Amino acid sequence: MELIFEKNRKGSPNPYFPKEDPAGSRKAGDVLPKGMLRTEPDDPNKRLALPEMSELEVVRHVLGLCRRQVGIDSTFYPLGSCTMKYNPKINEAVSRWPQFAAMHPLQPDSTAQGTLQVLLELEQGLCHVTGMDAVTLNPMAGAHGEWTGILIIKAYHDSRGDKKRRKILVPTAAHGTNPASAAMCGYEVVAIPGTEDGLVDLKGLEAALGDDVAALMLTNPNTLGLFETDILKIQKMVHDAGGQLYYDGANLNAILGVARPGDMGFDVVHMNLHKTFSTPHGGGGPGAGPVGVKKHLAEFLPVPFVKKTGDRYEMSSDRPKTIGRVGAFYGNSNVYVRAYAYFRTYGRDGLPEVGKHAVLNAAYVLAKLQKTYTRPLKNPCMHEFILQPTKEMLAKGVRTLHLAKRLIDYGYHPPTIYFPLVVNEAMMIEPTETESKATLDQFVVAMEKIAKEALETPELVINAPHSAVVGKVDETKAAKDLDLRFCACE
Amino acid sequence: MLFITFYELRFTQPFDTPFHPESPLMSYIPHTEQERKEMLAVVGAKSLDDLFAHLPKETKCGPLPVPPGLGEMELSAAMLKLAAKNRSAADLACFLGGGAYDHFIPPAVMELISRGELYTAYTPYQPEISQGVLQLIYEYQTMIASLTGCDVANAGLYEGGTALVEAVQMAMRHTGRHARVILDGALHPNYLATVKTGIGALGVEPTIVAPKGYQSDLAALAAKAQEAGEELACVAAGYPNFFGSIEDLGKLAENVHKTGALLVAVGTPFPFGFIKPPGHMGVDIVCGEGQALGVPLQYGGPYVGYIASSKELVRRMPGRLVGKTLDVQGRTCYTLTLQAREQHIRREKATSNICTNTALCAMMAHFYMSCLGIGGLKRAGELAVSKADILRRKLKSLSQTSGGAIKSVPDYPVFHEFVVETRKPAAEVLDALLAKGILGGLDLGRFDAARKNQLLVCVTEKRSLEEIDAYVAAVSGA
Repeated sequence: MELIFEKNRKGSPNPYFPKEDPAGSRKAGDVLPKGMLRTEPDDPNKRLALPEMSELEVVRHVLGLCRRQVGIDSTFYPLGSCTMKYNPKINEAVSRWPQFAAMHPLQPDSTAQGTLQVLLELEQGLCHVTGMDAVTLNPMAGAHGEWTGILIIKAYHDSRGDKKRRKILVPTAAHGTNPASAAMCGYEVVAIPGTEDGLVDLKGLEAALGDDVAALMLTNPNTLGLFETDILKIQKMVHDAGGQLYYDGANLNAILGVARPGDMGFDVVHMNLHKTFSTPHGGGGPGAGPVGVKKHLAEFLPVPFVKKTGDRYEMSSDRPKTIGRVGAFYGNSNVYVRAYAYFRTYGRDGLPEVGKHAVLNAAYVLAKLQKTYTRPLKNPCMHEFILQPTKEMLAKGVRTLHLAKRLIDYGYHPPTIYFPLVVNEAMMIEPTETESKATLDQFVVAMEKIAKEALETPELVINAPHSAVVGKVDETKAAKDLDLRFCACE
Repeated sequence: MLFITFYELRFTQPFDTPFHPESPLMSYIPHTEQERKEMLAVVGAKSLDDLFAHLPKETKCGPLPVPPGLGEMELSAAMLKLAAKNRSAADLACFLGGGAYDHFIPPAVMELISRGELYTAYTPYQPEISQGVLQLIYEYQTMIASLTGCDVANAGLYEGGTALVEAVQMAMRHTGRHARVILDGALHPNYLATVKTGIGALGVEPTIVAPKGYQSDLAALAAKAQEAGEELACVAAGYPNFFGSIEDLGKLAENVHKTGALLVAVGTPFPFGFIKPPGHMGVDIVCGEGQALGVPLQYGGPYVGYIASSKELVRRMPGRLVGKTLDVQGRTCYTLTLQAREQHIRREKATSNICTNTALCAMMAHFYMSCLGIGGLKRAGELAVSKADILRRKLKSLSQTSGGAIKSVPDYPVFHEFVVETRKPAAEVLDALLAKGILGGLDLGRFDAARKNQLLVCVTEKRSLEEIDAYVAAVSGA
């Protein structure tokens, strides 16, 4: 589709601002220092390139692009490790009320009692959900939470004069953010191998542990969708070696209301509320990555935080041993309004149903599909599972990428593919609890049809998608002939 | 007792309310009892709890001590009660800026952002069905790059403070220098604090150069840079700075470049349609908070950090980038590119750990800039400058005559935000203003006790002459 810049109508008027200058005003050009006004240089790349068109033309441009885009609202989105559950509309509506959306982050606490109450109660609720003693809402996404959590662990070791711990252990199958976050905190990252069953290799862990290890970062259920059943042993090994145990909350949905990282012995937890608490993914954010810690780490949490004295809420930075600030204000507050609404919707009895039905849906789809596809791991399935193409499909040249793209022709968003990296041709499917049996059954039928096509008409699958607005995309060209912006000179 | 918290509730409400799996309280879990039975049979489990039989029992929890769930009707009422305890910029006249700005946002922006295809989508890793978001981000990158006067911009970062941390680390990687970073003391204090946390983690302590009055001390920044010489990764200066000051950074850029280091400019991009953008002054990396471009105040987030640079630095850029390419049939299309910089490929060697950023807020900024266009953005800027100038002059003349609460209004070039010095603590002046329904600005004593008689005041295009007069009346009586 044409770029918005190509639809430009120079000088198009708009309805937003008065034409007359305010009474008694001086022209901006007279107010600002000479030489500070913007002038457009010859280099077209340095010129101001904003579209000029009517609002209606903008609306049509965007709606035209919406036809080239799918969200959860459009179709089933079984994207493993991303928890693409339904985003309840009431949460959106509430978050857009001006009483929440038009709150300035620096306005006096006395005028923000509602927002502060929401934030504090959400913190308390998240403590219960994770089994932790204190929570900060500062981090703005999962990776930001990881970074914050690792800094807290660093501050803890440093506070005890224990400065020799330079390593963070991360399973080979972990999300890429784990090692990247640890490295951004100045740590050396050591990969821990997994067993054939897809769990942490206790022998490998034992060998890696020592007085130079600051922490082990773990996802549970892990990135293969399996529960680390040795978690109590693991926590003892890590703690005996003086390390801390970090919980990557990417897969918290699997155990929501059923089991808690705090009870497994984790010291630090981050949550991805844009996964587990249904706040929208927004095409790649905003997220929210609150961090929970056990008591011994609470004094290191970032600032600010919400505090309640009597019946008044206030924003405070009085935390002398804090790791400091991790952002300009207090996290993605308006994402938390949505998460709070979600939390209140499900409540005590509803939260465990989320975890249970997330697992039921995954186990159901797996039970049906393992007849048609290869399942590399045999442990009980949690909220997501991995499949591979069968040997016969591979022999016909059909790979996971092709299967995923063929799903697009059937109207679905593909699953996560080639993650985790430790499984060849991985295809990770996570249905979430908000999908009905009817939707899952239709998906299974589509997957079975594709399996059949892979054997009978492999070219059809290999060349997919056929129905999308664009075909296979030349990613190599994108990286080689780098073009990151429109230029008026074109 | 109207506003009791739910933690108080749990002591007063019966906790044994029976929960029916078919009740509308579970309405986002669509299973009927019959379907659940059929599915369990397929799985080979007797009950939902069976699915968790392999978990050690020590890890399982009983019912959580949180209140029972609410139907949408009750939820709506509960949220309304909480909302009623806020007084937002929608019912107070907001002269408060300090890194978050109350601009007029065309309702079309919220309308467009409410499209389910956009806000319920995941990161566009599957380009065939994500051309909508990808093209919008490509267009956003173009708008930010051109607005800042730079070659390229990325798809967005979390917010302003962390954007600066990323910019500093980008400069470190590019120069290969990890020892020295110099920061303008006239940056937002919360940004300075965020950078201290961010690069402190790598063992780097930034050098902070105190401002000269309310202006960035550009000469001292240049002198410090020269002193740091080949150890220096970058200098970061505010534009506009925290106190609203705008000064040409061209000379500083030349001086910084002599050491082989980079110059980073940090500031709200709203004025850049009107004033000389950093990219036209030789600045290498421009970053900051993009909230002013169409994102609501939202109590501090979600916002959108922006970062733009010269094309030589693009491979050091953190976060996502959308590039233009072709599909198999030769049709123009868009895709995430240079992903080898990112954590999901490069892991601990990535340019940043950032994954989820704030694509939706970037799209808001796109819609805002598209609706306004060059003319609208310039007009909004022009009105903001004129109105800020009106209030500033009125306060100045007030300080020179009766005075009221205003002691003086220091002169320095600003766009739409400026400092006034007060006779009594700024906090007290703000209380008096609030009593008249005015969010009067930012008490700088919150960040530095020595500044307790300084008030940072912002006037956007949204403030009316009536509100400006009410402001003046309130402070003359205070």
